[in-house]
Amino acid sequence: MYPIIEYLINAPLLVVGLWIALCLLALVLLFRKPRRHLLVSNESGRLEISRHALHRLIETCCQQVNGVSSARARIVKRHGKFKTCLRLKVRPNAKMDAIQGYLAQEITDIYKLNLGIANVGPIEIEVVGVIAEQKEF
Amino acid sequence: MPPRDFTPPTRMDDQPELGDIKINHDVVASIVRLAAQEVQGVAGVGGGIADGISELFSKREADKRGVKVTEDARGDYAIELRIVITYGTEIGRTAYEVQVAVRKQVIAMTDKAVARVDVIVEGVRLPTNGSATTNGDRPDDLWAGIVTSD
Repeated sequence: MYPIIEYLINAPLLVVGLWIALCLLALVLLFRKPRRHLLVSNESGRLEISRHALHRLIETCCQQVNGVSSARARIVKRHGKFKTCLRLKVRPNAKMDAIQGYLAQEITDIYKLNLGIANVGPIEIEVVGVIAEQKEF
Repeated sequence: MPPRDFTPPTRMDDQPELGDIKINHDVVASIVRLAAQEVQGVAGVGGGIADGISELFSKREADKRGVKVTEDARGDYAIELRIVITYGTEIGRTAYEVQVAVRKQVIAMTDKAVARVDVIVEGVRLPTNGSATTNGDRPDDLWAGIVTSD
């Protein structure tokens, strides 16, 4: 008899259940259909962007702004509109109003000009932390 | 002995006895990968989690990573391509250039029609040598003096 079958027969039910759950989780993670947003579709092909890439695009845009240390983006498509929630960690010398105005404009431009998405929803910006700049010796 | 004249038979494209020429989809995938990587603004091809895991187990996967080639009922290629773009490039234009380059290269090398090229942007990567602002975008440190209060 195979050792794996022997192990499964002798193992407690809880262990077997845990192994099955772990295998199912791994299968779901491997084979789940990634969420993508369709940008353009015509007879020559389609252009889609993955949710991960969209997040990275917005986060990278935020991180280019001087005064923003790190950014996390959450984008939800609701009623055909993209609602963007940004969680920022900023530097102590950052001007919040300038950052807010600049990011709102830049992200709207990314949606409209770069991705061709006309229905831009609200852009919510939340500052969740302040990180001091590392001093150079 | 007088020399015998040998005239080779005229080759006809529809001669059945010459056999078929079949091109493996992996070869087409390699062509697609190389053509896409040549386009400016494409930082890489592939990038999904499943691709990375499968590449760990098989070395062959590296050539066709991020590319799926199928044939439709008419025998035309349908290509799905996952790319990582460079931050700062225009996504729509880059994707269009990828579609054109892939179609052109595959037709040139295989002489078969390409029905469609689907481009999926899987990731965004920061440029390593600051080449993202070549298409007229604003430099990223433009706001340096405005946003911060030094």
